[in-house]
Amino acid sequence: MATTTVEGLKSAASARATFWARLRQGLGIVFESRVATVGLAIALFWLLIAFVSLFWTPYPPNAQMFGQNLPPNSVNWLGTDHMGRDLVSRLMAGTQVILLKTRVPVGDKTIPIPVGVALWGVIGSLAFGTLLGVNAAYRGGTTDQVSMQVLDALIAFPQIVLYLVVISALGQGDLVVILAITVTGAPGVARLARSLTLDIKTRDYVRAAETRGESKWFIMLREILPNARGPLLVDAMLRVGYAIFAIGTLGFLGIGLPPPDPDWGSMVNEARRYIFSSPWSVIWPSLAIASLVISLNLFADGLREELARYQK
Amino acid sequence: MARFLIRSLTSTIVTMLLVSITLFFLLEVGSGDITLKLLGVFTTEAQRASYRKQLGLDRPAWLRYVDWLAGTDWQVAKLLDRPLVVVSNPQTGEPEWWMSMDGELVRFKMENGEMIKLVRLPNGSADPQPVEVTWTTDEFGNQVFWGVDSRNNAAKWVHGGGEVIYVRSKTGFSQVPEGPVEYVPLRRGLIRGDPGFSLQFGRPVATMLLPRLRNTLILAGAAFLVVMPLALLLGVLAGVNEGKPLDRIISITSLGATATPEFVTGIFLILIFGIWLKWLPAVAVFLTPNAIFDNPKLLILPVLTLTAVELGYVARMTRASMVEVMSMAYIRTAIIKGMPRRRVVLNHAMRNALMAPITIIMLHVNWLIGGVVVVEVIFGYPGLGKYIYDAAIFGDYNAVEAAAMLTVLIAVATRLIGDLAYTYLNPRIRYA
Repeated sequence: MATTTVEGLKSAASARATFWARLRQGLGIVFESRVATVGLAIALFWLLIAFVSLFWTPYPPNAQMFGQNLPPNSVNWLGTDHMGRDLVSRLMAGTQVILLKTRVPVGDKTIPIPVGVALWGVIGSLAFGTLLGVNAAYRGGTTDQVSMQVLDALIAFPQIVLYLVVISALGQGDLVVILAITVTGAPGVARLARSLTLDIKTRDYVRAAETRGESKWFIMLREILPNARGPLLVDAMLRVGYAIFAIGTLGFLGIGLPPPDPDWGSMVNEARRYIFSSPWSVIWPSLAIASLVISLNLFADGLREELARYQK
Repeated sequence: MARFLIRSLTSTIVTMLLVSITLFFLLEVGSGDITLKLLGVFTTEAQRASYRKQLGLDRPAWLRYVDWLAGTDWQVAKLLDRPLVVVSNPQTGEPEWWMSMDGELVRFKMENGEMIKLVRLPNGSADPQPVEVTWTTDEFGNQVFWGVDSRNNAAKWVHGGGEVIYVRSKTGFSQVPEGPVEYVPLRRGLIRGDPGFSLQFGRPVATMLLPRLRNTLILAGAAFLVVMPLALLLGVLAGVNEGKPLDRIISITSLGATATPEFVTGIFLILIFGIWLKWLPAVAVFLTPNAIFDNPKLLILPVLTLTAVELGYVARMTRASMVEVMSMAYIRTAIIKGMPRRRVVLNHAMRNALMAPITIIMLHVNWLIGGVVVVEVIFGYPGLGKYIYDAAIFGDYNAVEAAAMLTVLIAVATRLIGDLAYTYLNPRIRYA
């Protein structure tokens, strides 16, 4: 009895150690690649800005307290927009809805919940797509064919049309944008999960679980899913970039995240009318979106390259 | 091969059905009272209700989907006592529905409780004449008559008891005392080549969509011609020099270009070339339908924007493929046997390396469509993308459905072509 407890403690300790070791190893891979390091640094910079903006911005982001369309100056470092709002404050606060908070309407109030719209969208498509893909591949037969047909339809559907229609149907809102990103992202995840599962389900441990008489859901969730985790997570990293891209585009098309919180894409859209007289309020949010999306892409790309070398 | 084609064809049809049903019911949920958008907020509920009836929007949603898909003329054929005829209007060239009656084409209206037939004259206008029609008795004991009205509807009139309706015309909104009590808008349905009328503009979708499609094809085609050679060249250059500074520069630049949203690229191009340097027009406003041929400068910035986004993608694909091929044994053999590097790359590696990117580009068209929508919105370019955008925002379901079917068809067809091209280029793959 005593030995088993000691063994148990030891294994728990080593499990914790391996967690930290694995984290260090994982970060090591990131720093191996200069591209991934730069990407991570820019992304972390925006994340830091997002946290800071929760407690402090130079001025309130929605206060119309300055002259309109001012160029950068000592008071408003990046200038002001067409309603006399400070651009630094708006840019900073604009990170929140993407990365940090989602506004959920409850009754007639809106309650912010943690984690931003882009991340919830990716989590949604990851959950939905994985479930669909693993289920289709593991069960096979008609389930597989029907699921793949539905996915083919979704993939053939021009994403932007889906966004336009879903949002014009359900109205603007954080949850609707999350839904739109989930629906457009899920088919890609499902295809990846399906191809991984088709490979994994031929392995011996899956056979063993089947012989033990485990239920299909147990096998899918506890045997197959953990072994398909790696590629799915790298894919998800890329999808965060796509999601921010999509949110920016939706904002630009005038159907993105609703006010009052500033949103980069919507800022570009509103300021676009004044582009001939004062380009500043278009330039800054455009640069912000581009830098965040590019940084996430660099990060994911460097990571993938480094992992591929690692696996060789 | 035949089996492969049949399978893809069925899959395409099922896909289009699924897409159209989803779109239809999403728009149904979302567009709300479309007559409010069409007529404005200063109309009364009675006026809007009357107009909704004339558009056939009081019919149940599933029935309207069937109307959209398969048409309504066969549904009303047994109610009308004369055959329906479609002729094109000599002024606008748009199709019109008439009834063929005793060798002349007629439509109907009601005055003082009696039917008047409008006989079509050769110039397309109508000549009102009194007519004796056969009234039938319906289940409520009313004397009713089904005919075609002057707005391409099959309409039901009640003898002596016309309903007050509100008619929208070019000059405004007018009240007609003796109108029909029920309408079925006439259409042939999509599968018979008729996408219906745009609710927003009151014109056939087909006549509006075709010039838009042409403009978009010109835009996408021009972008394609710029992107392909350039991207393949950059990709090959990067792939051959894997790991060297040239590769780094090309790879990171193309990653940046692809990851930058189209609207950001477009806005910076407008700022630089349209506003600061004033070299090129910053917007693509078409003063005439053929402005694009008179002033090709309009195309430059939209094409450049699409190029920037697509270039990176194709170049990265080509690079990856080139790197893979360059690490193969037959390339090593060629180098070791002393063949000049230039010849190894051009004759041996390129052929195999370009196969993947060329077919993958075909699968990428779907993504291109999204880019086209944004580019057309930025520059105000009157193409298919802007049409979809405007129609979806308005909730104009006939227009959205038609445009979406077109894009789905383009996406699926190019994917099929990509598959076939791959089979042709790579003899190792054969479809069962």
